[in-house]
Amino acid sequence: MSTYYDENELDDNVPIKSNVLKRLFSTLRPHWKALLGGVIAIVVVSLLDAYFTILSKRIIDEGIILQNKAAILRLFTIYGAIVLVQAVSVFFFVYLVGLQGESVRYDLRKNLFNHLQDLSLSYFSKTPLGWIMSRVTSDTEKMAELLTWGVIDTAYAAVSIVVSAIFILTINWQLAIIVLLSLPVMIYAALKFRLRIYHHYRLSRKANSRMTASLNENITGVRVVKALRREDRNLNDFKVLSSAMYRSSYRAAYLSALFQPTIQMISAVSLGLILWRGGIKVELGAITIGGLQAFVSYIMMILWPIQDLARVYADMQNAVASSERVFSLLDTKPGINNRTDARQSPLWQEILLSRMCPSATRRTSRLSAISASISRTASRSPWLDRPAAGKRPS
Amino acid sequence: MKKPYSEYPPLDPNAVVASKNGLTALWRLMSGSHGDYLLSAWPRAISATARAGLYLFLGWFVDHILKESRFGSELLLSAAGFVGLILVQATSSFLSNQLAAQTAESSTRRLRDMLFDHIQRLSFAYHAEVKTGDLLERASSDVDTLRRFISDQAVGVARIIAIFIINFTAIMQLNTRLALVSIIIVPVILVGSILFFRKLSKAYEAYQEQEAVISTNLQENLSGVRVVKAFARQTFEIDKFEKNNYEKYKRGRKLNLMHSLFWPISDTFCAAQLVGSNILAAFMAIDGVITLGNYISFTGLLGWLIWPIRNLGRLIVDTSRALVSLKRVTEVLRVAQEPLLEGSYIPAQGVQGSISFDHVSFAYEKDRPVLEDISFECQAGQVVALLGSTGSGKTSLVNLLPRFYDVTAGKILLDGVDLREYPRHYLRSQIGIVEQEPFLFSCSIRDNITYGITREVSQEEIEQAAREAAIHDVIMEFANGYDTLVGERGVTLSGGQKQRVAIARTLLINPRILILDDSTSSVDMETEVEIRQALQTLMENRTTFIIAHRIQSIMSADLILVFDQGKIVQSGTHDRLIQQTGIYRSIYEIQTRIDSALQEEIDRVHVL
Repeated sequence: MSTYYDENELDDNVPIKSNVLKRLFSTLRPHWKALLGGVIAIVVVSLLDAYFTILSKRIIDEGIILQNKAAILRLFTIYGAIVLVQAVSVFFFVYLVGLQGESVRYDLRKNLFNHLQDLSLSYFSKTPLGWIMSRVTSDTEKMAELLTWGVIDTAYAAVSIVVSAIFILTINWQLAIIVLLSLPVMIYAALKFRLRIYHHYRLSRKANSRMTASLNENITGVRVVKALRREDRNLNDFKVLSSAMYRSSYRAAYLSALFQPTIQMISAVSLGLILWRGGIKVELGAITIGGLQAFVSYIMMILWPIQDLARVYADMQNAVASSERVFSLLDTKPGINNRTDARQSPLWQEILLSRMCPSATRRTSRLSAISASISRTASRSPWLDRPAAGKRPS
Repeated sequence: MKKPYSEYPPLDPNAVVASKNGLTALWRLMSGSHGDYLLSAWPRAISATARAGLYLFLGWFVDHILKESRFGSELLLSAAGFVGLILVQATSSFLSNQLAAQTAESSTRRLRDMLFDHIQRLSFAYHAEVKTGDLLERASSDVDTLRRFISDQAVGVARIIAIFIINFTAIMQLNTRLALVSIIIVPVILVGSILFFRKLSKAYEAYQEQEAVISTNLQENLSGVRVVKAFARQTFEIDKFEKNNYEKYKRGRKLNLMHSLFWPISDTFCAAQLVGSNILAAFMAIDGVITLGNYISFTGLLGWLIWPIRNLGRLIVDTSRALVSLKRVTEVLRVAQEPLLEGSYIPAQGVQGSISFDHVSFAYEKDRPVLEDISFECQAGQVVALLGSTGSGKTSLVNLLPRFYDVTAGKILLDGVDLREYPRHYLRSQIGIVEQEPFLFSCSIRDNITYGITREVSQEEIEQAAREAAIHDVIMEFANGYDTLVGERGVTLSGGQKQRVAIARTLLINPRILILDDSTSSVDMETEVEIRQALQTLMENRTTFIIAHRIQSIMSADLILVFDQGKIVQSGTHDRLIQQTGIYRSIYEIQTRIDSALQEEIDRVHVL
């Protein structure tokens, strides 16, 4: 995890703009084959997962209830074969997605770094180092996460939900309606929770970086702290920061602890209803016992992915915010100082000015006014008559 | 359930450090939260039991309700019972996680506070040796590892073990033979996952190390962007970064391969166990040894028995890493703090400032003497200049005055009393230090100037100090004046401006003794004039020790000490020393030559 965190970032309520997303996904273009392979593999895994449930149903209905041992052996052999196929698919999808993730990270870092080499000195004078570091280390991470695991999780969840919905509708559509009606409540709850948890999590990361900065400063300046006898007061100042960290961190953990049980309770109500109505239907022969068990399993296969999708959505906000910052950096043009008609490299200008202008703040504001006169005069001075060591744009 | 922070007992570093092993130390760290943590264990057990109960209930439901066609009120009651069980499970799960989180967060908060305070009170010698980055990592990321251990991993281990025991017991109730057959794979999976996660841990560390390498590479490149451009080293930098970047890619790829092999392979093993047990259970169900309901319960229980074992392996490896972090933290806690209040002499009428060194020797380590047999005297209010090459002992000598270090032989007398009789805390209130590279804190200019003052200071006093330091006008030019923030979040001051703020800071403290660490050698010439004026004001009526590199700064000193390899080789006033052949005269002559040459060059540019 990167230690650089921009204080001003709080990626809440970031509208998900489609053009940013498009540009984000275009970074995948060189690696589309790996992505495709990964998606295919995960779809296979998802479909096979759904099929396991059908097998379990058949084992109960055709094997146990009908007391057919041969059928059981046959069915479990199929089960075993599917396990192997699925194992291979899992290998592929983990490998391909992971590989693609690393490639994307590598590409983003490379592009950012190379672009930074082109930027003008004035950019670096006005942009804090920590801000730039955040872009290259932590933002690229978030973008890569969304492009890889975000896509995969969404694919898995989508297939899972669609297939399971199809299955439960086929098994018994009346029961299925009960389940599908509870979905909007579930989705809403899951989304709300996720966003709140992320909000507090981001606050705690902010607090964490403040704390770390304070600690860093205290250690670096320990001589001054000791000389000025600031130990007690600095401790009190620090306690304020560590308290802020505690509050937001605990809140995030508290909400996390509350999240799953809440979802479970919502699903429990619909499960209870299923068991009640389903039990009645078993009596009426409208559904087998195996079918009921399968039904319950499929419900789980809808509910868990929904929580996942909520997480992916929250991650997407993060990733979009990160992408915007990274793209703004990539879009920053190399500065005017590097024009081909520049007489002096910007570096020599700065050295001259630091010798002549007493104040750093005044210097930068008078830079442009002075640079013109200096380049005229300096071309005649023996002191400055050296081969240009600055950048000559090629 | 949440106690206010003040009710928690403060952590005692010695108690933590005295613990024999890691886990005991961790336990001591959580003092005040012990009740909460243990309390969180019960809901966890209840949650695991409720979950097992759910599957058993499902089985019972199939056998007694569905098969026996009891579809009336019993069905409704059963469904309600089902919901009730889930409610119990959900609530207890929430409670146990919340209590664990509370324990983790409050313990780490106290640990962070304790570490912060401990670190700043460690001796100066320790700080000079230890790298800032290392200390920072121990106090931040190692503490974070401990937090995650307390809230996630320790809880996770307990939870998986609880679930295992409870589910296994439940299966035993159904059928003993089935139960025993079902856990054949468990030791294999457990050992396998421990081995794997250990390897993974190492690969992950390598990956993170490379991330740190990239970070450092990037930081150096960005900090030195002017140098890179001046020497046209962009291609070199790009290539260097490319190597590091690619290396991280390779290590990530290896990590990924390990993951992509482990999960499917262990999946297959677990599935084999499941298939085998299920076949056995199905046959038993057909043969009537167990009921259909039992079979359904069994499949549910078995899943929860087998799949989590892999995570147990991961958690066990994480625990060993957490113990490593704990060790790193306790290593810091073991170091003794600087005794700030040791010493009993506090002069009633304040410090005058006459200092004498009486055959003082000092060494950082046994056989590397830094100062040898230093003796001299100075009266209150005099200026003592220390001159000599880098490493000749000047800085070490002045470090002895605020008792950052203590002498190893001889003694220093302040107003006739041995320095060691003065408590460090009091002593430092009487000594002001202006460093060569002054350190300002990232707060407002006003806060920086009043940094050493404990009492209330009026704005006039602050402005007065700033005027005497020749920085007031500059401050008023900033948009927010004295409230302007210093640092990356605010304005970046030039070297000369920082110097003057530091001087204002020292003026406000009004110390009797002053240490100036060659404050003017690193700024440009225009600013130097202003600073010199400010320094003159500062030095009035204070005993001053100046460490100088340039003769110009110290020509008017009352006593000049010339150092060479830890000994005083010449001492006296400027006029006397200039007549002696020796280091002083040589330095004087060289510097005068350089100064006039430089002046000529600058005059030429000015003329244009």
